[in-house]
Amino acid sequence: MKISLNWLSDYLDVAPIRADLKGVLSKLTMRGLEVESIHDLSKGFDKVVVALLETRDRHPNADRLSVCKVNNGKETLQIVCGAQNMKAGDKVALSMIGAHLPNGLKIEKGKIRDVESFGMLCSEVELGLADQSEGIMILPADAKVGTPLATQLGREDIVFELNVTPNRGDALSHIGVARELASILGQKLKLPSITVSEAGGNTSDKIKVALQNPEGAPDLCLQYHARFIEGVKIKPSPEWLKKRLTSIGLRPINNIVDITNFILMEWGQPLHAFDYAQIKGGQIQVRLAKKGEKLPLLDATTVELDASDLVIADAERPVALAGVMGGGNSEVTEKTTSLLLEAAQFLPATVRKTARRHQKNSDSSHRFERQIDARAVRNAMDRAVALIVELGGGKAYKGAVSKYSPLGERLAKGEPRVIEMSIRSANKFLGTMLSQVQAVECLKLAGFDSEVSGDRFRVTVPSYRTDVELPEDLFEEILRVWGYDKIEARVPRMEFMPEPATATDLRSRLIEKLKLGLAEQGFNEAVNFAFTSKVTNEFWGGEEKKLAVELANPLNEQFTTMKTSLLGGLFENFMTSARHQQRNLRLFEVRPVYLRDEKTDTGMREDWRLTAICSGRSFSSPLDANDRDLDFFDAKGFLELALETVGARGVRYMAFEAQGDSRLHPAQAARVAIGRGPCGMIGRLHPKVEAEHKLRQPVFVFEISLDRALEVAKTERKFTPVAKFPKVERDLSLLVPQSLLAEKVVQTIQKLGKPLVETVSVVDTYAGEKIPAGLRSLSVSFVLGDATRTLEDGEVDLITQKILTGLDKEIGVKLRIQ
Amino acid sequence: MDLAKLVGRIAEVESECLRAIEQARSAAELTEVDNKFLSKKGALSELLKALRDVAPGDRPAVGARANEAKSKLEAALNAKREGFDGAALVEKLEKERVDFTLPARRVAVGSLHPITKITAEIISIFRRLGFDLAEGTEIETEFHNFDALNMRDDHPARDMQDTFYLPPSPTVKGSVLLRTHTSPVQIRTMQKRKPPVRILCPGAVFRSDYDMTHSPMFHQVEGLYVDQDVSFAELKGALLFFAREMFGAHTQLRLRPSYFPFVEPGAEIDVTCMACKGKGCRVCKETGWLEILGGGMVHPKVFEAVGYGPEPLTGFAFGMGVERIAMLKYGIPDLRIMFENDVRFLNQFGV
Repeated sequence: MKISLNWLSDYLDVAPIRADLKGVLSKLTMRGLEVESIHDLSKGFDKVVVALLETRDRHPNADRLSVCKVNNGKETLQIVCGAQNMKAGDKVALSMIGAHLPNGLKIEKGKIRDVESFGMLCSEVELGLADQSEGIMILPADAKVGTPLATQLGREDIVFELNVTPNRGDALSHIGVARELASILGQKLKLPSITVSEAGGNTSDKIKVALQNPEGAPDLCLQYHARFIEGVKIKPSPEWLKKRLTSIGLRPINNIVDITNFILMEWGQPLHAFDYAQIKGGQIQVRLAKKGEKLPLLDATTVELDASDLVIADAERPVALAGVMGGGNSEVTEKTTSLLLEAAQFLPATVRKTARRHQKNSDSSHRFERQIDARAVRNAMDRAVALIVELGGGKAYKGAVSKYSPLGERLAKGEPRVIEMSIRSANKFLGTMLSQVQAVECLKLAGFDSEVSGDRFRVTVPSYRTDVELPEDLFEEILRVWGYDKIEARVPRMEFMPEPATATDLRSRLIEKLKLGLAEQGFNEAVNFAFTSKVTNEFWGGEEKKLAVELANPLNEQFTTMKTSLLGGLFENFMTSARHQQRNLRLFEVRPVYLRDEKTDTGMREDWRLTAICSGRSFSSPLDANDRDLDFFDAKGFLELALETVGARGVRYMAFEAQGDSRLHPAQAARVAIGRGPCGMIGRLHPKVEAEHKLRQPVFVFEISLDRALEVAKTERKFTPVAKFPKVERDLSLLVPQSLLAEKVVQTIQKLGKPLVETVSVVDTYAGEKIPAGLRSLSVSFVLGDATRTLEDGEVDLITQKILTGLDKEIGVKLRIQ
Repeated sequence: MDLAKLVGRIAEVESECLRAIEQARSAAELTEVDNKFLSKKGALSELLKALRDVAPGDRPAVGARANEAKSKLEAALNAKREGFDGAALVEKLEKERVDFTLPARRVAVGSLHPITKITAEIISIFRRLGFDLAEGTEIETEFHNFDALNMRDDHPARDMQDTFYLPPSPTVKGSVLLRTHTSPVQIRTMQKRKPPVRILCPGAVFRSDYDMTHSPMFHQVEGLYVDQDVSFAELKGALLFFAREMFGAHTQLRLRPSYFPFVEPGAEIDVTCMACKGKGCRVCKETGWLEILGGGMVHPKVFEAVGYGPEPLTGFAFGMGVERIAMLKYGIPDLRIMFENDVRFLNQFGV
């Protein structure tokens, strides 16, 4: 909300504010009305004055230029000007030598095509008053020559922008802000006096008002007042009113509309003036719209109404969207002669819903949503009527037609709200040691009267503070005035036993370790948005993309779909860096994906993923002659090592079903299983993807379900005695069919070697020369031992023989004979 | 050979050998000397064969003299040989010299995202004050994200947070949305746990806004402490402790009245600008203060919504934006760069 200091001077002495502008306004901020910016409207208007154009002659050397003689009240100056819209006798805006205009232009003595020029005639664009203009600014004929232009335009003003929080509807007006400033400065607020001189007949003979509240609904219209004014002349507003409005950025329209806007910004009370001639039957019905009814609005759009929109209607049709905007079918025009002036109070929720449904947020709806002062509605209307009579002539008929709902009547005329509180609870709550007198004084300064009896206060809430309902609200009022900064900081006590580390705590520690484990293997952690485009998720979303959900109101087409895999985002990151000549890339991300699941209370399940992408050299040392590109087994290593940092072991790999994973190389991909079963994948990106993105090195990825991995995480360790007796190691070179997985060989040896074979590992694999087609050589090393004795050579040979026989018999694997 | 002559020969051989040792130029020459004088067939041994011809009574004296010569020569030989061996070793080791300024062979270490690092730092500070972690889901119900937090649908405070919604689902009551703050975690925790509650809720949140200073996804850490007689002064104490740990011991707080529907009183909390230490600079727009936190006393309607009571409870809650703190601490000028994940950006933050 913009506040003009000149305007405020109607309600308080602003001299102390001018004297210490920043100081006083920062106090306003510390009271909770945050001053976001301060603007001096006259900035850039130094040395710009009203001047009389005495003569205009053609430039001797240029057809498009004029040589003007301009009088600034002291002297006549020669000015060369390129505009065409002026004539001798016009009052113009003259910027003299030394002026520094709002658009940054510095005025100096110049020579244009050999003719000297001692200043410039300004356009509204050059003065920062408009975005476009045709020619120079021509001022009203009655403007006094020599007057500073800032004075002429009413720009000798300071305007500041307030960020008013939704609870402080009372501060959405000049009177509201003046009230807070008066309290800060210790002044008394001066409210404008209101006297309506009535004439003619009775308003009630001209206007009938009916509130048609639907059965069982809350009171949608709380109060509605209407007055009738006859014989009004519609014309431009006087300068003082125009200046008030333009200072805060409003465009003057005509005297009547300007007065309603002025009252809106003075009192915070929205008003609406109808052209009475357009109100059929002189009847006002405040009712719900009929579904499908149409209403043309002041902004030249037409809305189709919903059955829950509250409208102001005449005998036949809606004429305004209640609290939001007036109708185009009943607006005040040049032809208007009599007015129906409306002042009302509507239920905030209904105004809010309607304004949002039709996307018609207005200054009016903004204030109704934040609640208006129920006791100021009549005053604001009468103030407007007085101004209308003063500025537009006409006769204000006697009285007003007023209708209240039960709640509206209570709010407007009933007892004010009283809240009880105790000084003891206030002090305990705030951690202060305020005396009763101090608390009463603070409340008084905030506008609240208190009645004290013993420890207890009965505090009366002023009608404009609709947000204050509870003792806690009063505590805030006390604190606001006392000063948030005077609260002494105290470290929270710890009188209870802290909870044992929660599952969340433990999980978060594991994730921290896991992330570190990857970072130490050269991975950079990425954080990407939760959503992506539909196309991206369709390609990268994995097999769970069928469970994807799209946002109902996405920000743009890039962010429509909740991700079902993190891979797409990481691949984009990968490409971003690759485009910057980064070759050795390792990236990972830990975030959830989002899957439809009817069993939860949101209909969605979040599955946290650990996803990684990597490519480039295996080491990054320039000294390594035999450094090489990463391969599938490096990727496996990254995954396993990361999991081992949290004690998650026993990762298994399984073949994909026939269709595989479309994102991956069909022959270099596997499902990853941890604990209970498959929970992810690992593999090389499909060569089609690599080729499409012109990637020269293979790219490997994995994605696993994080919580499934953490299920088997084991951070506790148990000691087992170190072996006392020596182990025996045997190596076998085997001939294995290409299609047989090494894991099968290992498992078979483990089974056959029970109970003496402790570990089996593959140490080499080879296919090619000297190996028959369809086979490969697999070198396996196994360790035998017994915890209670040393093995004898004979029994080791025996068991080795047993293993060889078994391998042949069970899986057709034979010893490779050199 | 008579005695005197024999003893004389021993002395001659001794000095001859000593000279040879002295003159030897290499380990190989030394071995020759060894062979020539001291081996079984060497000069000294040959001389001792003549001992047979010496009178038995004189033999011990001659033998002693011969042994003396042998020890002396061996010692000299060994000393000389050690010299040669040492030099050879030095030569050999020299050939193994490395240039210790050549680069290490290692994986280039990766990095944790600045959001992760700042979040972890915030958590570790509040852990010292006895806060434990609580987390929730990013997709939430309207009830947990708004209604229970005193932000009903008709409340203009809803405008403060532009919300992403999911399409209506037949199986779910009410609207489902991407949480706009981590406050629903407070609600869910209080629904499950009896007071006292002292929790920290970190996580991603979402608002429909995208420019230099707004991202549709960003991260928050919120704190909540509910018990009997929790005071506003303790909120200030907790946050002052945090601010000093996070931004340095000189840091001070400034609290300004503000409004969040789920607290009353509410405050915006500024900390001393870390760039200028409060003197006023471009970072703090010459104010000396940076707005970092929001907080206040838990609104009674929130307690009502989670079913706390009837015993009187008070509590405080606060929240902060992780990206904003990261931008200030690391001097990152543009919020959006954090989500581009260019490795040249990420690498700057290390582990």
